[in-house]
Amino acid sequence: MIELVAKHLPVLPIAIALVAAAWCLSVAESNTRLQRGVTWAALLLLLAVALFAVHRTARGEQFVYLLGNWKAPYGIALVVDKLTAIMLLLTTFVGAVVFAATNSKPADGKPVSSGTYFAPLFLLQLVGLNGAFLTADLFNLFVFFEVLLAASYGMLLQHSDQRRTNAAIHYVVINLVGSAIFLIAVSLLYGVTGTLNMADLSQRVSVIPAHSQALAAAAGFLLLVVFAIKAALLPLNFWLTNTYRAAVLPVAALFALMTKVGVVAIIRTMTLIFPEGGIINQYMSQALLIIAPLTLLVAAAGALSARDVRSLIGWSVIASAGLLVCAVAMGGTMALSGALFYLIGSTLATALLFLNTTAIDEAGSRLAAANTVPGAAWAWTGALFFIGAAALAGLPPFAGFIGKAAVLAGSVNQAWQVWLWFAILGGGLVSMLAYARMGSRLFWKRDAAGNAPAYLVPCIAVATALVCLTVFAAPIQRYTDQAAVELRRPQAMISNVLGKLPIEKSATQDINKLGAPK
Amino acid sequence: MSLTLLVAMGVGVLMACGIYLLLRTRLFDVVLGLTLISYAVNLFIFFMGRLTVGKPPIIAGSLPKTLAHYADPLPQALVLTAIVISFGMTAVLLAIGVRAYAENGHDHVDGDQAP
Repeated sequence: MIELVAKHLPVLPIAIALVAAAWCLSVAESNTRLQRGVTWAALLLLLAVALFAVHRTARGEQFVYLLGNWKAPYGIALVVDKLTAIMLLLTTFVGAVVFAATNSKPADGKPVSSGTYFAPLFLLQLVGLNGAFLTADLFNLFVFFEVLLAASYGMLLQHSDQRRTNAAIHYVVINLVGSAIFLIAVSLLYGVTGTLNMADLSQRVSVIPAHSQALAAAAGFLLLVVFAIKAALLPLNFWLTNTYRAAVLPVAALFALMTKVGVVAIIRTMTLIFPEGGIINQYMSQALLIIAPLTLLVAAAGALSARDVRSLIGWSVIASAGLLVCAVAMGGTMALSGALFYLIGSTLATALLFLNTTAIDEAGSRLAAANTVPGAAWAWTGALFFIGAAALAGLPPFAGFIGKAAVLAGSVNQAWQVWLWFAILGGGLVSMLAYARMGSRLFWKRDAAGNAPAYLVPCIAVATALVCLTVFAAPIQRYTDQAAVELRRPQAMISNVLGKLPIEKSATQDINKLGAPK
Repeated sequence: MSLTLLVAMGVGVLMACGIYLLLRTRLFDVVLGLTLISYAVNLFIFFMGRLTVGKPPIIAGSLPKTLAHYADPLPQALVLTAIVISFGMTAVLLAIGVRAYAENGHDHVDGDQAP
């Protein structure tokens, strides 16, 4: 059984969610109980698979899966390495928490999951996210991006009103433009190298003849532009705050994962397709070392200017993407490891803040109506806000601090050290100020009429995970260290992918299938 | 050579028109622009398999099995996927656009201001 799971491990996170989505579509839309049951079953299975993947990759294994049994550069390969395993676990955990939140009933109104086709869209979103983390084929990455985007359009339009529709238009248009650029980049790379498999690309890019070098570099930079749209880096970040403000809150918590898809794609681009040491990689990291710190600073300024909690969180999503890309651009094992650690912490913190904001939003709309004394319940909401803000800003007891410290340590003796430290520390300080101001405005008013946390159980689950991230920092950091080492030595993955043999069908099996003559 | 130039110019003109329309404030123009851009992109993918005349993309019995005698089939498969996806996405955008038009009373992309 275990061996069977291990054999099909890379395809399971996609297949489970896809089957569950199809099942949810096939039952009557009014039958929400069955849909919820199916989704929970899928989430539990996905969680088990993700934990299994983390467990096995921690032992140094890599899983390669040839879809359709075609040998690697010709067919599509799925790969589970440490980075993928971390992302699968994070996606499933945040997905489960968000799904729990969408099912719980807010004080007034219906649960979010009562929206049109919510369960299938949610599962398809997971298919897209998991697939984007798993695939080792550039065109397949495009397809999974489209899957997750198409699902996110549907999720964004849940319980839609005028504001949501208008925000959705901007979101869809920018992503369609991104898809067009992605296609140009992919086909340009194919035209130059003749392959789409990332492992194969990595080998061929290094031996490109001089006259096509510029084309390959252009394709690489176009890829970066696409991923920068997803990750919301500086000139391409303006869609994010509006979209996240418009989305229903638990869904916004899930969207926080989508910027991370962009970051992971940038990591893959700069470690696998254009690995360290190449001239194109140098150009890329120089460009990103200017853009990413600027993103961080602008996002901090945006956070300071934010008037409501949602745009504040939106800006800090951008800031955390900026910090992650800073670390990726630096390269180096320590910085990469710190980035992965910070990625986990910041995603959880963002999810916590978005989930908790429901209570704050409702409180805001009720402030005028009733003047009650702030109760113990409101203090809980405040406490959760504080935990999320501290974790996101990277204050010492929380996990963000460890990741940030590792990134800073990784940048020592780099040519850009002063600029990077200024951006990372300055950005952190300013966003801390922004959260302190927002927190005191919200929670220290004498006449504040507060709400209990809307999604208490999911919020506490995320907060617990954040605390665990600090308590078990040593084993987790060991794992991210190994993941960073693995990323910096793509040779192992390349030979794993290209060396993976299709399953041989034995002659007897063939005869059995055809039906032996009687 | 002249055919390549013509094709490249065709893709370029389509793309330029698409970008111009994309930057306009009416949603209808934006959708048209995106359609033109997706045409340009699809052609571009197709031409990345190189321009060939009269060569089959799948193995035919009589021809020797070397690359020189065949057209690259992969970009043709890619372009098919890309066409389907861009078609579906345009449909989604149109559906959202019609709804926004119904809610706003006009089709300005920002929604909150009349064109």
